[in-house]
Amino acid sequence: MELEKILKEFKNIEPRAEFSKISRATILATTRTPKKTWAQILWPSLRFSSGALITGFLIVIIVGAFSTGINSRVPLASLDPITLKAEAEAIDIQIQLTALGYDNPLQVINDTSTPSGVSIKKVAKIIPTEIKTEEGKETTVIETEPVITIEEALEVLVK
Amino acid sequence: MIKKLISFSFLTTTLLLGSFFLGDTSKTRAIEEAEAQVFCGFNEKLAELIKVQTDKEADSLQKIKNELVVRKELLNLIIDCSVKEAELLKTKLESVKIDDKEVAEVKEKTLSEIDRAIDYYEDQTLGIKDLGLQGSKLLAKKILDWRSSNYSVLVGQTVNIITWNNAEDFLSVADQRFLDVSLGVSGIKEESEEVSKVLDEAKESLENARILIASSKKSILEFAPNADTIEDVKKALEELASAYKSFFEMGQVIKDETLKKIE
Amino acid sequence: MLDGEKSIIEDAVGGEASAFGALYDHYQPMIYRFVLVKVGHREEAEDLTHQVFLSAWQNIHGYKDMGFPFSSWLYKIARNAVVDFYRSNKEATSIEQVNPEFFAVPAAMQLGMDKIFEIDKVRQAIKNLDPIYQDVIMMRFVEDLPIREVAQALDKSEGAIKLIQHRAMKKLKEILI
Repeated sequence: MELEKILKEFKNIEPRAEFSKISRATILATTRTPKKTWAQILWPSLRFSSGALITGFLIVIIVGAFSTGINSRVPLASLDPITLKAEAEAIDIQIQLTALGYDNPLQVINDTSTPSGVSIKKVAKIIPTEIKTEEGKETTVIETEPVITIEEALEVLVK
Repeated sequence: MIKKLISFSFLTTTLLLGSFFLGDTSKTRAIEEAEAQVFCGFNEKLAELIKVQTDKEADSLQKIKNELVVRKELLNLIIDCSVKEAELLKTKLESVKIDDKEVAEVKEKTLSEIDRAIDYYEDQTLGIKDLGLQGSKLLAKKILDWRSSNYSVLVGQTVNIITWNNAEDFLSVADQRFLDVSLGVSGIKEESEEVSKVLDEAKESLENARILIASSKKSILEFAPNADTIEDVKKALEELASAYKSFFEMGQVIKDETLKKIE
Repeated sequence: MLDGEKSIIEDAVGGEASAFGALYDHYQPMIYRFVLVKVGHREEAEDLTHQVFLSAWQNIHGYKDMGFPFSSWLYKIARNAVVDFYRSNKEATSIEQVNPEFFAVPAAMQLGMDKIFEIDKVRQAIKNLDPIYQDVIMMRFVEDLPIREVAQALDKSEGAIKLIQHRAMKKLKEILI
């Protein structure tokens, strides 16, 4: 029927290519489900590492502020150096922690507090420093009692 | 010069390293924290054991009785500490939110295994009071072997799951960052080879990270924790770090291209 | 339906943007046409189409394959979007004049203005039908969807769709005379 033929022609109706391109890109760039921020991912480990583990594996380039007026097409928000640096540093910390996990698996488990705030870090008393002089220079000596692990204690009992 | 008189102690070493970075006041704080967190101190009990074993005043029977008392106390202490260690392992693993269905199933399985480990420890305490000297040695050996063959696998698996999951989360953040950057540079990508090149480099790094993370997932699913798993995760994170290097580079390239246009 | 659609959907549900992109590419023109006929304005149709797919992407993690085609789910979202649009835009929208921009450029050039005018006349007539008639005409006669899919999209029985289809075409012819 003529009407049905005309209705078939409706398939020639299509959205503008430019609209489709932008719409598609915008949608796919949207966060689908609430993802953790880098801070949430790393917080449990950060409580342990607190500045001690940034070793500079990643050479963080501090990019100067961009001028915004020259070219409005320049994407500034997504390349904001402060956010990039924060995310990059978080990865850097995680690399160190992963390496730690590789060498000392229990370290990863034991280094953050349990919810109750109690830890089972197996540490004996650490004796505060003594200051000695050696040829006129001050040196710091830290002495500790040896720390006995579960395995070591069991080995003593086996004998 | 720092002279270290320590045995291989995980936390102590790290605290010292931390103190190099943090400075004197933090060193003191770190020491205070460590002292506050002494929990599984075996030193005193072991010292007591040596003392009773070398006691010259007691007769041989009394020595044996005294030694047995201390051994049993030490066994209870060790098992108590082991249970707390396993409970901490469980708490850490429970707190990890895993989106991946397969890994989430493995997480549940690992949690069940940790529960079984805790039950195992508690079972061992039941017979301690009836042990003789030889029995205490055999029990110590039994627990030692069990920890080596069974418990170490659980620890490895837990660590792998946690580090893998963290890497997955970082990959999501990096993917989102890449999408945002791609969208932002879509207008100038065609005009600038350099922008296009740097974007491709970032994309390649992300893909490499994805492959490595997928590979480490495989061994987690097989419940076969080994050194390669963590190594793959570490390499994946290094790839993500490379992607961020590219993002930084992109900013500079765009700045340079923009300046060229003005000139 | 898209080739390998089941697996693409699974990937999209799992969060793969490229998989959802494939679904977008395949279904977007269809949803756009559907919405355009109902609202009559290109800009509003674009906005609504964008909203439909944005909503789909944000909620796809909850999508479960219940044996219904993916298009049925999208059409449901689209219908709701149009209903919400009319709720918040209570002023009667004037019938838009013929706009060759509705058509893909090559098709517009091939069809010629006469044909475009004729198509637009039908489009305006469809807009005057009951919403359910509009839906069935678009899905059955424009998109050639099987009755089963249309029934699933509209939560009706296949028998009901056959009946609606017949009545819709009859009504459309009456308007066009």
